[in-house]
Amino acid sequence: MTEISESHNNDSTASVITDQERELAQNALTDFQKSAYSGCLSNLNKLEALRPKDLKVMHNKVVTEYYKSDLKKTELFRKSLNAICGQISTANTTEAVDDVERCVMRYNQAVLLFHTKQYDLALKVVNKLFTFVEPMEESLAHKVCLLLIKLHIVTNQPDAALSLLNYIESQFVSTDTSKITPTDKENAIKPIKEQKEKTDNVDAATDAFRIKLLKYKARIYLMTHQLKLCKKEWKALVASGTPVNVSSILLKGNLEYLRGNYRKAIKILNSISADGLEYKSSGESAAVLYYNNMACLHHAMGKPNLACYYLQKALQENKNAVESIQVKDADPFLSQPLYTLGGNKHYELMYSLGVSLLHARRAAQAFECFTESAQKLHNSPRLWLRMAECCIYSHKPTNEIDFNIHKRRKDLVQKVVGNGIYRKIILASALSKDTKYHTEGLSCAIPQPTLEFGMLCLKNALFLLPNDNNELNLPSTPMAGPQSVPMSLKPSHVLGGQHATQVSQATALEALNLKASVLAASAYISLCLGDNVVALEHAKALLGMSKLPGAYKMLGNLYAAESLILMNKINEAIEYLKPENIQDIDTFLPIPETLDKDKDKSEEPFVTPVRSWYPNSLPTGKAVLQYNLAVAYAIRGELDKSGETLKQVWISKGPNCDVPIHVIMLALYIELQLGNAHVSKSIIKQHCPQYQ
Amino acid sequence: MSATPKQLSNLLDILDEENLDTSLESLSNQLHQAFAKEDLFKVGTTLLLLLQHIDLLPNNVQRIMALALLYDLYRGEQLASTPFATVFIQVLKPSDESASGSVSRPNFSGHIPALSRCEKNLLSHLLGYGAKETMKKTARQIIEEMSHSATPLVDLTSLQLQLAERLSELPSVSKCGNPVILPDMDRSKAGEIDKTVGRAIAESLVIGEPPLCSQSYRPEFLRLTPPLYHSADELAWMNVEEPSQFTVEYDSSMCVSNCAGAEARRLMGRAYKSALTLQQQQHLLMELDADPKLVYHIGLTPVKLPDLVENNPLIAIEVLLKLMQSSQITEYFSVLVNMEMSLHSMEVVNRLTTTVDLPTEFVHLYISNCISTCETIKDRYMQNRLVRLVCVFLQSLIRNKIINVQELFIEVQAFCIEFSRIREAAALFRLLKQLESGDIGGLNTPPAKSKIDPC
Repeated sequence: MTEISESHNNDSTASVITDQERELAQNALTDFQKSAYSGCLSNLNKLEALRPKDLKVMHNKVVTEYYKSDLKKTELFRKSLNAICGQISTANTTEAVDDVERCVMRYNQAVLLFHTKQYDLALKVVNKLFTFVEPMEESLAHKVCLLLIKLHIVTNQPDAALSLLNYIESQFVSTDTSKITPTDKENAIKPIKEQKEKTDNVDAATDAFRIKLLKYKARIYLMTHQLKLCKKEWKALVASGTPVNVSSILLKGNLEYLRGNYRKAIKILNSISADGLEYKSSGESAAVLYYNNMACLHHAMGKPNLACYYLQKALQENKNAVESIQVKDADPFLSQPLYTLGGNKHYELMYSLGVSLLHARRAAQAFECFTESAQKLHNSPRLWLRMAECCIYSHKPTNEIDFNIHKRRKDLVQKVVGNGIYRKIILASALSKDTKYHTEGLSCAIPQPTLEFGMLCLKNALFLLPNDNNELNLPSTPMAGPQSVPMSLKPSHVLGGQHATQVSQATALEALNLKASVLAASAYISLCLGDNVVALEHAKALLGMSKLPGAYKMLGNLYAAESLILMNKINEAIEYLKPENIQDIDTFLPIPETLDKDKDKSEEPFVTPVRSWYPNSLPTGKAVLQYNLAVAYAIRGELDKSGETLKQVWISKGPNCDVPIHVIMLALYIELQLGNAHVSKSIIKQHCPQYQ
Repeated sequence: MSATPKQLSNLLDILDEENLDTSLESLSNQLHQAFAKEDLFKVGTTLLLLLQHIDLLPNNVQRIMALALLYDLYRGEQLASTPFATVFIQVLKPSDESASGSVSRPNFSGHIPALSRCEKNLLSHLLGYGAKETMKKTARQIIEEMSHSATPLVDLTSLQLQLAERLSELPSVSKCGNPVILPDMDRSKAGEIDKTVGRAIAESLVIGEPPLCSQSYRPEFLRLTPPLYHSADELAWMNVEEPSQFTVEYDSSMCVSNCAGAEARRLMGRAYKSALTLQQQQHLLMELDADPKLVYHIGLTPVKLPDLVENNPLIAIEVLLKLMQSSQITEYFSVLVNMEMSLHSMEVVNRLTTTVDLPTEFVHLYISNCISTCETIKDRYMQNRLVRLVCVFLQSLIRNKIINVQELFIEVQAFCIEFSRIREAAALFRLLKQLESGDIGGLNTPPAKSKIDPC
């Protein structure tokens, strides 16, 4: 197949082009540039009659027809294009012999894939195209570069995007003018004056290209949290004299958002004019962006309910925008302009709404949102983790309640039966909610915020987690700005691999935080479901991570100990319950801001979790560990040791250290086991005045 | 599964004090008739509850009956494997210490029933001396016979051992429970015994799901929920994406001829197959010089490079130099390194090393490749020739400070020794020795490092 088309190709280029043909082509091009598509088409038809085998003529005809339909008949265009230059398949086809002559066609295919959100396939095509970037005509080369970077950004590969960008910058926008000077053949024919004008045009084009690269660079630095570098790019952008528009305002807002200057960011956002972008003409709506970003800011300021409000507004605006261009009962691939095909932000907004709801302690509603966004975002491990979190928080909304002795002490006793000599105190059989297996016969594969379903979600999340390799070579120093592209000599390298070099610290830390969360949630749910062996595995995997926030270290120890006790390995369990096993109770690894030293000290602290976790003080955390140690002793029958440990927990109680209600219950238990019924009764009467 | 009210009243009927003169055996028979085998455990827990709480079964006679029934509940089975065997052991064990009649402590926790001397005697008889005979007696007989005699000592060691063995199979977690019913008797009202109230209380304890009498409290782990996942950008900020910037392109190169390119392509096509004439070479190089982008259009790919090198090394050098900016240059390099070693390839590499900064790994890889080719080649004549070439090549590299000898010292030295019969190898060896001894002889070795490492 490729052989044949190659011979076609040879025909088209090798066979001599007559003056008539050249003129027709020139006319067609002029018509096209003037958007006179009918005229262009008639020229192309004449040309086609003369050169029936010329692929470029066929291609241009299809393109012109597509433009004539206002870029609406996408499906038709896609089919014709595939017929001309072969379909792109997901299968790893052997390196088809492509050459520079077909770059425009391939680029068009990639553009279609991009707008229909088939990013992986699009990346494959553009990566291939990129190997021909040098011989390409300059403006096309720029477009290929931009699309390539864009695709890396949308597929969340900021590090690869950055090294690509640096490489492209060094190749195309260097100050060395010799590289930019165009050597287009057409120029030779034109008078010198015109040629000079053309050079100016090209410089303008290079300038525009440079500005676009600057913006992408700023975006990438935002993704990798290199805020100081981002600020530098932003300043360069301002200095380059680009007009302030929605795009640059949002970039600035994003920067302030990540720096934690939320008030400032709100001010910046509010400076956007309402009619900045229209969905019909640009494929995105300024209102949606505005409301979404307001939601981000309010969420970060610890106001998840307000964030929900803004997100619902954004969802509504998005709906309006999408509906405004929908043609009733028509296939969007035949009725909507190309650039609006991928503009629907519904599922992303739904995900954000879910996160906000979850933080607003509305786990069940959040679950609904995540279920909906799972239709499109099912490849995101974060989404599955969030769903599992909904399941966990529906099961047990908070840890804090167990430490509110005043509120929970009534739960020590179930009730009192009888009077006089028949009076009996019925103690609680357990303080925490019993794990209830769902016996209603519902399949646990039906999305419901149950622990069983949560376990399924976590299995997905674990499977989708990025590879561990990143964890090993966590860079000790943050990546500096532009870096050299190292040459690798592996015979079978791909371009992506050549440029993707270091993993930025932010990416690596984010991956670690995510993994820790998934493992901890897995261990927790496994324990709740009575799956002790699996729980222990997850807990050990969690503890085996190279870098672990303190809170997760503590949880790993707790979960491992509990599963070991349930497996009757108390000696091993006690090892995990040593108080020295916890040093801090941070819930995440922060991204160090070493690059942002010039930040005003007066500004508010960088990032705090929106909803802080309980226990929030180290002594409380230690008390939990120690209480559980007392439990382990008690189960082993060492009541004295248990009592001693428990006493220490009780003594540590103070303004900075809460103890759980369980402490009292365990004390009661120990006294009962020792036969000191009168002591236990006085404990009850002290804490439960209603049963005196 | 909890007992039904009917089952409870059945049981209490059997335990009625009216049955004072019925033999324990026949009471037990009644019990087994009234209850199916699967209900026996419920009956047992109920009996135990009644024995634990003296207020629920205050009558001496009834307690005797209850105890006997509990003992005979699983008749025909090994005592050690029945669920209530531990109770008997627990009851009889502390009797040695607190025989004086002081209220034994376990009574308070409601854990182990406190038995009167008579009841203990009964139990000892049942466990130790002919259970059969004892069962034949009536409750009244038992009270008369056993109330005052001293408790006979029973050897329970073997039963205890069997039980301990059985219990060791259970996990600690399931052995540490404590019943949730805690008696809180108001002793001032000890006289107010009311049978119906007792019955109602018993009912409330035995019936339920799960019944209170079978609930227990076990030391409970505090299991914390993990924190919500925290990500640096919790909610995704949305930036302007400008989707409309990527749109379909018109191919403006349609029917724009490039005749010059065509000629160059033709010549290149020939250059892969045979050496070009001097004139052709000059023509091709001239065209390539005239249009810096032409080099990308002449159809050269990394796969074709070896052919070009073998046939037209001069063209190959020029083309590679022009491709230095290309993103594909590393692929060309790796092809060059891995191609069969020859005079021509060496010439190309040599020229490249003197003109541009090549990556160190590349040069090293090439040298290793050369050395191993020399070592493996069979043809003696060709071998000598290649070794000479490699030696001269290496000397040139060293003298031009392209490579840092230190990094390849061992490899190169071994090579020289292996082929020491060849004059050039000996010369190279001497050069190495000079460098090693610091006798630079016109060469100053180490300080040139920065130039040598192009990366």
